[in-house]
Amino acid sequence: MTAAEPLITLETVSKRFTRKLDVAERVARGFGARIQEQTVHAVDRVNLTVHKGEVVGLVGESGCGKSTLGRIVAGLHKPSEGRFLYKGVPVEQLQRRDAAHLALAIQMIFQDPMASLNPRLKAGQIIGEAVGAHKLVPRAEQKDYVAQMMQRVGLDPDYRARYPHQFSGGQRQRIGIARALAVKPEMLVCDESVAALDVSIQAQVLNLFMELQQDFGLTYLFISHDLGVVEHLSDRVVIMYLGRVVEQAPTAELFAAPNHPYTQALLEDVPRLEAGKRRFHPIKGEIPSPMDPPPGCHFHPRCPHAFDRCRVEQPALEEIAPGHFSACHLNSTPRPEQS
Amino acid sequence: MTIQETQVQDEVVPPAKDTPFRRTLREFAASRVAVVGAVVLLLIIFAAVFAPWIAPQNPYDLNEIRVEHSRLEPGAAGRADPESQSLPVPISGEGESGRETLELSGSVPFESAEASWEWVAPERVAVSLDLQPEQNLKTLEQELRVEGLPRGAELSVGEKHDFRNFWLVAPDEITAFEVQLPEGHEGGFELEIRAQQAEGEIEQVYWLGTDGQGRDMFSAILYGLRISISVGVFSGALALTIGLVVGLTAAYAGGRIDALIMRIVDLQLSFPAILVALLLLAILGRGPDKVILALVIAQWAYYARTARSAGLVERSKEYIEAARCLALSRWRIVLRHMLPNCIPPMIVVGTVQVANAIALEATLSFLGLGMPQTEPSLGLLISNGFDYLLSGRYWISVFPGIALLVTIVAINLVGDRLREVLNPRMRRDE
Repeated sequence: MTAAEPLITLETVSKRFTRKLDVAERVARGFGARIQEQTVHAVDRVNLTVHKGEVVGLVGESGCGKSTLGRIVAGLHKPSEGRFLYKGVPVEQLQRRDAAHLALAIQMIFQDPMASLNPRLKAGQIIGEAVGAHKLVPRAEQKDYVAQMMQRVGLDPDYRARYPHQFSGGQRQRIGIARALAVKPEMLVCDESVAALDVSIQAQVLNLFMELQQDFGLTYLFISHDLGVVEHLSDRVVIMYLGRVVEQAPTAELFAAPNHPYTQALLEDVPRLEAGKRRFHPIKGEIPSPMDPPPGCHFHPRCPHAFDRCRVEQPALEEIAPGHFSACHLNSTPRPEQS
Repeated sequence: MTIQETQVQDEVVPPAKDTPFRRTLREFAASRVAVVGAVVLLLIIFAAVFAPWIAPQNPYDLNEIRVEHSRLEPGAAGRADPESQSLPVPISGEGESGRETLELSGSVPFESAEASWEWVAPERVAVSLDLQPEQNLKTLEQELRVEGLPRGAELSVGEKHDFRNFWLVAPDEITAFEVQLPEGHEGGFELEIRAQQAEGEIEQVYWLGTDGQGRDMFSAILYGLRISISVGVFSGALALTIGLVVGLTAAYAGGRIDALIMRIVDLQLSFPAILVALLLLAILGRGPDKVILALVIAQWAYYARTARSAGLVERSKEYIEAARCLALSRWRIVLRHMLPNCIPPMIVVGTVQVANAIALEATLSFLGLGMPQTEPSLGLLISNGFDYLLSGRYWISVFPGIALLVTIVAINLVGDRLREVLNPRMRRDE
C-alpha cells in the first residue's frame, strides 16, 4: 500500500431500499390500480475516499442517507450499485483472509449506547465475545485483554460483571468503544456516537476518540448532524443532502468558505456563543421524501438561489478549490440577475 | 488528557445487585392479585408434584379403593370393615350346669366374657352370658349370629336364617336364652356367637366425596392435576421450543423463508386449535403421548408468531448490527444475541398457552378423546362425573371442575402480570 492509496474508496455507490409489492397489491395493479414499488434512494452515486489516519466528518440532516453510507462502509449493508474498494482492491475480489481481516478492520460505534449493547450479556462478555470467537488472543489471556481494553476506554475492569443497564450512558458508550477496539480495527465508523449523551459526557467521549486515534492510528468516519462536533474533530468534512454528497472540503476551509447553498444554510444555523439575540433562519421547508426526490438538484425546492437549470439538471461534484468539492450549478453558471 | 482523567464517574451507577431478574421479581410483586395467583399456582404445582405423598389414597391402586365406598357425599367417612368377634361357648353335656370363661378372638367389642349354662331339661339348656364391658352391646346395631347349633335345635330368642344354619339374635336378647335341642340329642355342643360392630373404624374422611368407583375425589383431583399440568407443561415446552426455532429462523432469515414460514403459521392459526387437536386425536387415538403431540401441533404456531415478532424487534436493534459488524457467525448471533432477548415475550405467551393447553386437554378428555381411563386428567374426571350430575351427585364433576378453573385462573393471573412486567410497552418507568 502506497502512502497515497486510500484506505477505503467508494465509487459511485448507491443504496436503494425497495419494498416489494405483496400479492394483494400486485393483483390490484393488475386491475389497473396505480401502485408502484416504493424505492428509497438512501444513497445516490456517492464517491468517497478516506485515507489512513484521516478523520472524515459526514454531516447532513436526518434522513439524508449518512447512516446508510456509514453502514455501507462498515460492511453492514451491501451497496446496490458501485464499488467498494479496500486499500485499492474491490471487496468482492479480496482473498478470503483479507476479507476476514476487512470484516474486523472497520468497526462501528452506534448512536444509542443502550440499544447497541446486548442487555443479557455482561460488560466483560460484550467486549470479549468477538475476541474469543475469532481467537484474536489466547484463551488464557482473554480476561487480561478485556481488562486492558476496559482500562483503555476509561472503565474500571471491576465492572466487567455488570450488565449494560447498570452503567450510565457515557459508560455504555465506552463499552461499545472497547468492544470495537478489542478486535484491533483500522477504522471506526461513528454513527452519531455522541448524540445521545449529555454535553459534558460528549466532550469526554470525543476526547477519548481523539486519544485513541493518536494511540492506535485509527481512521474515523464521523457521522453527525452536529457541526460543532464535526468541526472539533474532523480533518475533512463531507456534506450530504438527500442521498448525495453536495460539498466536501477540509474542515477549516469548509467552515470559512462554504460554497454550496445548503452548507451555507447549515452553518448559519449553528448556534454560537456570541450569537446573542440573532434570529435563526431555518432552512425553508421540510427535507423532501427520499422516496420521491425532486428532479435536478435535490436541494432546489429549498434553495434561495435556485434557477431553471437546478430544476432539471443534477449538478456534478466539481473541484472548486484544491480539495474543495461542491455540487452546485452556481459555480458553473453566472448567477442569474436577482430581481 | 490521560487515561486516569477520562475515568470519570460521569453518572451515578446503579447498585450491582440490581439484576434484571430481581427487578422483574420486584415489579411482579407490586400487584397483589398476581402474587395471590402465583401463591395459588405454586400450591397447586406443589400438590401436583407431591400428589403421591399428599393424597390420602392412590386412586388408581385397586387395593386401596373400595367399591362399597362409591358415590359417597363430600365429608362422608370412609370406614374399615367392622370388627367382629367370635365367642365360642362350649356347653358340656355333663352335669347340671357349668361355667366357662370364653376365649375371645380380637379385642372389640368385648374385653372378656363368661358363659354359664344350666340344663333345665334333658334336651333344654339355659345359657346366660356375662359380657364385659356390657355397654358395648349397645354399639352392636347388627344382630349377633349364633352358629354351631346342633341340627334341629331351636333358640328361644331371635330368628333362624332363612336357609342357613345359624340364628340371628338381637343384642339385648343375647345375654340370656334357652336352647331347645331336638329329641334324642345327647351330650354337649359348642355354640359360636359372632358379634359384629355396626361401623368400622374411620379410615379416612372423603372430604370431596367419592366417585362411582369409590375413589377419593380429593386424591383423584391431585393425581388428575398432576397429569393435566404435566401434559400442559410438557406440550407447552415442546411447542415453545419448536416455535422459537421456527420463529427466529423466520425473523433472522427474512425474505422468502420468512414468508413461507409465516404463511404456514397463518394457515395453522386460521383453524381453531380444538378442531386441529380433535382431528389429530381422532386419527392417532388416545394416550398421553398422542395428546401432547396433538397439543404441540395445535399450538406451536402461536409461539412461532410471537418468536418471530420478538425476533424482528431484536434484529433491528443495534446490538445485532454490532454483532454482525464483529463478524460473528449467524448461529452465534441467533443463539446468543437474539434468542435470550426473545425469551421474555415467550415466557408470557408460554404461561398463557400452558393454561390453554391444560384447558384444551381437559376439553379433549371430556369429549373422550384425550387421556385414557388409566391416566385420568381433570377433564376425564369431569367427564366421569358428568353421568352423575343429574342424579344430584354433583361433587364428582364439580370439584375437578373447580380445580381446573382455579389452576387456569391462577396461571392466567401470573401470565397477565408477567406480560405487564416483561412487556416494555406496558412498563410505567423507563
